[in-house]
Amino acid sequence: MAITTFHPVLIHGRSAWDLGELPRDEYEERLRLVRQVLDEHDVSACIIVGSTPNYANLAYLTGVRPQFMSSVMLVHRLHDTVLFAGLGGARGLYHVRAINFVDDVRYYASSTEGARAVLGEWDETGGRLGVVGRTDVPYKVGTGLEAGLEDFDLVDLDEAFMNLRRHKRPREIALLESAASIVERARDAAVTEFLESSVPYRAAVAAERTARVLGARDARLLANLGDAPELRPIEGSTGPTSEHLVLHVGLERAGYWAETTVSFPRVTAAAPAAAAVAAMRAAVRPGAVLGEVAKAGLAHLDSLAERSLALEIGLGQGVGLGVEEELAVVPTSTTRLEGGEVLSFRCVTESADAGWCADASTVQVTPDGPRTILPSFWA
Amino acid sequence: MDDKPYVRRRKRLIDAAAAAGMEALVCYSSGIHSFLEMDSVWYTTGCKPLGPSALVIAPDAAPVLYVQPSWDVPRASESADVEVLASTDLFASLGKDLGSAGVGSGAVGVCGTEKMSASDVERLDAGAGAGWRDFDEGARQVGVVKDEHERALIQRATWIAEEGYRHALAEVRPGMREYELTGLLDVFMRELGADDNFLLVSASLHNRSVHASGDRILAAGDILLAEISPSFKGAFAQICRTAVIGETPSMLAEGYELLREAYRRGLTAARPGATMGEVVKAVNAPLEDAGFEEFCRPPYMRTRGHGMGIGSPFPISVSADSPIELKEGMTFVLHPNQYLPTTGYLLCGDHIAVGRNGAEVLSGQRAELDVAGR
Repeated sequence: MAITTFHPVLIHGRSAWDLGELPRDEYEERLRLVRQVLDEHDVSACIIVGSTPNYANLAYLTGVRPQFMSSVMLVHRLHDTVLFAGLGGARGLYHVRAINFVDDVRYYASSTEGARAVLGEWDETGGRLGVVGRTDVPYKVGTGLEAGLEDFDLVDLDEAFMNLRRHKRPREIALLESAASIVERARDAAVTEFLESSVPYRAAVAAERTARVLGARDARLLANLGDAPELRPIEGSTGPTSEHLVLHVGLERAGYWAETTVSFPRVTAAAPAAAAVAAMRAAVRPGAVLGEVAKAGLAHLDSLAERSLALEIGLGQGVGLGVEEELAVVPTSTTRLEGGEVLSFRCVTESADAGWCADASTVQVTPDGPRTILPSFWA
Repeated sequence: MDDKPYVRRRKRLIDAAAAAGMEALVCYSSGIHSFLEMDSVWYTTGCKPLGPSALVIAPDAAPVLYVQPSWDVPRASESADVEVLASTDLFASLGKDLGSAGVGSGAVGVCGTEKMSASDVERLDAGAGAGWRDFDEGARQVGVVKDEHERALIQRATWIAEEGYRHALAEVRPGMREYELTGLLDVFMRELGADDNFLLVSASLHNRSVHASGDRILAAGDILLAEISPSFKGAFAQICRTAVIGETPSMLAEGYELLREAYRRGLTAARPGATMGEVVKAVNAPLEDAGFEEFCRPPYMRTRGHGMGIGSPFPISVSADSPIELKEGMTFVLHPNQYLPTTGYLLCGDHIAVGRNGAEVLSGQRAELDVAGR
């Protein structure tokens, strides 16, 4: 995941389904679109595998992000969708039923056996079967699934699903704006704390507290927590004081991500990072190639070392239900923007006097160019 | 205190691998941590990986830890007891080390295969040769008995969990949302040094299970469930607690006392030489005697306890059919958590260590039915 930090063993923030934000008709429409994909690929059913870090396809149809390890769902052109819940065995079914769109939630000790059982109920015993996400889960899980479905001719539908998800729907934009609201508040909390204590560790903790109390389900933070200038995840219970605060915050609310950076106080050395992000934003339009967008940003970084650091941390990617590496902003990308995508740009640079500096911006690709994903007002 | 725990762990691992016919070990981590899986890089170096990382342990060769991203090298170097280098291709780097050590593919054991993607396996085949052998189970067995260092980290994590719970009891108020309380609790424990948390907090008048926190507004009379599992420097501990917001109904107190008795019976049974099945039988006995036999099975409960990563997750599950024999030095959480029709789901449990003469509870205070938010 491009928003790096320690991967948590359990996604443990707010886990709820707000029917006002994502009513059933939203999921009904998404299911209709997926069934259309099945028709186009001449498959009656498909199996969707998702994990805690790679949950987008599952969440698109259910609202569920597996808290822990992986989950599976099956979609049929005619029959009702079935979801397998993973955490805590059968004990966890009650909660998953309460927070997701799919009514038929089951527990199977083996997802492969469960999949075979459901396909049997649907009289699907062989032939073409769509599959999504089999490379997004650990090798042993993926190969176990493939071995258990050896009677079927598996047809990968990952690209087709990505094509559905890359064009953000209006309610998705609203949720991205909600996530942006929280990330802004988290950033404000960090700066306020830093002004008081001059301790980046305390600022990072303040940002996480604000994010979680306002309803972030997942929060990823890196800051200049050590004596050296590089960003680090939060470890330990304290950190040194510093003249600068550099913070990278990514968070998820209701499945949707927002990220921001802090370079405080603003110093001249931060100008290249800001210029790179501004240049990438300016290059955004339907028809633009992501590789060219990346190069527009890199053009503002003078040295090879600057470009290397920026590329290793990442210049950005698509964002929505998860971090969309399919839309990675890298100079080698030949992916052409179509319009409707949301891209999260960032640039991190290092200078001898000011340490690391960072800038970020999230935009929707529209026919008129970039439209900034701004915080909504409620947070 | 053991001043070279990781040297000794690497020695134990390579000895175990040698006994199985292997000459070298690759420890791999994807950086995606799991509560129920071992992270062999953390276990053998002390560095909790931020991203993909790999270590080669070979006789007569100094181990090198390869990490990604490259900018994480300073942090990793501070925690690891081996040389840390950045690598853009971990599998090529470890293949080179194996080649220098003169170890053929068939003599290489690999820990961390549970976390490998299909492309990782392809690149491992290319770097180390396709004849490598899966050593995940071997590594888990080596870590079954916790060493002094891991035990100290677990003890510290237990302290953080207890302090966190005390903080939650002090903060909880009717009118708060579940997720707000969880956020405050989580970040409080972070400030005490927790680097992660397997945290489940939920509440209602009659709980069906414990689950991730939602939008529910807490109210007087709610039964608050908290499964609190912080990690300190990569070692997890867990406590399971129940509190009432406001007054305690007598039926709830009686139900909770039944769980406490089940827990006490389990503690007594948890001695070196006993099987996990015997521990479960002891836990279930008072519940069955009280007429709740059918509730001693899923979906009314999950398990009577479990081990925890990111060291060895043994004994995996404290379940009736587990043949695992308890050994001195094992640690796990013992929790007779379950649903009772009279009270709803309740949590009661602690992290314990198996001592020479029986179970040792790592918590300072055992679970009792607490009252909060008045």
